[in-house]
Amino acid sequence: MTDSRSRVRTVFEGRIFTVQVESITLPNGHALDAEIVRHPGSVAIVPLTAAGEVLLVRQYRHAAGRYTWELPAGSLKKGEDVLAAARRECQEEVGMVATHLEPLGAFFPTPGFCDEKTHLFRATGLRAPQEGDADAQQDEDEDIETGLFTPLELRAMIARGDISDMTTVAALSLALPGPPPRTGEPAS
Amino acid sequence: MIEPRRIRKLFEGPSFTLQIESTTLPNGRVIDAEVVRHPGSVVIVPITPNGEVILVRQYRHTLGRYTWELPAGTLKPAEDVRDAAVRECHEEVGLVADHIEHVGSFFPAPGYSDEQMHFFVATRLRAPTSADPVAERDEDEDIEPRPFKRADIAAMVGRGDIVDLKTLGGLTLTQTKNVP
Repeated sequence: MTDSRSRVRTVFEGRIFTVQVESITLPNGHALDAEIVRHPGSVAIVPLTAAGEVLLVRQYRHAAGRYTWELPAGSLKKGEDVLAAARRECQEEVGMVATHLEPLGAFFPTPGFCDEKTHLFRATGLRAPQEGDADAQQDEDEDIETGLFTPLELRAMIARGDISDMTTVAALSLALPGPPPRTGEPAS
Repeated sequence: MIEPRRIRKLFEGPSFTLQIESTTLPNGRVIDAEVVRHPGSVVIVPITPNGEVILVRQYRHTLGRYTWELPAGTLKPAEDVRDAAVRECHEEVGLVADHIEHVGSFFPAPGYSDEQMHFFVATRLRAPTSADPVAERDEDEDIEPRPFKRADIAAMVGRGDIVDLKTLGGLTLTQTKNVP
């Protein structure tokens, strides 16, 4: 860090994130009060079947005011390893155990005001849970439906505006072989 | 959109408002949702005549580091998204886009924020003239623009030198738009 942090005031401490106002001096000498959402980080998983289809989840997103089709994703629990979190979220949200999890990189969705870092994974070797696997439990406020889509269908959904989650658009480009999702053209 | 039964405003700053919204979900459950209400933003993919994409380098205090990102910025009150895209391109890149095309709108954090990012391709870039509105940078922005080949950007993503998700999203959405 190259800035000097003279004062940090916590204005909100919630279940998922904290909001702080930090009085700082930037590298260019400008002083300001920065409002920052401090977030524990998250994982998003591209579950890919042997046939090359992707599992998405549909849920109601209150903040966005709509139902969305998204990749399975979730916040890290306290002290949780990102790989363990990816395995857990995959099982909780799509009901499948991922035999292989391959990291695709970690990215910040909103670096302007939030430090959330999203770790992306491709999940393959998907199988039904069996005895010996950890029990998966959905969060109480999650009411999740799953769907299986081909890369072609995903591109058409993005072009039509049926996928409105940015993480899903960005992660698919890293996880899927072949041409990336396109927009501005009729779905083929 | 389900209207909350009760809203408690906990924090109101220049960038966003934080609220607890008591809401009954479609499945009947009642939740107290922690929601960041944000005015929305624009993300621009400026493409030069030879197909390069212009990124900007800036210091991100939230991350404690410098980043290379697509130019972007928050909507001003009641501002048209297309006007905002032209304005941000001018302010951050220093060029006026004579052609601007909407390529999609997406939520970067739908789990807790209503921010919607509106993505635009900007082409026919030219130096500003006295007929253009004056571009003013925010005081806290110290921004360096530079054109990159798409292959070089892909390598930067692979190396972990690009860590901004909307940059990856914007490049994905405009992969086929190399020709202005």
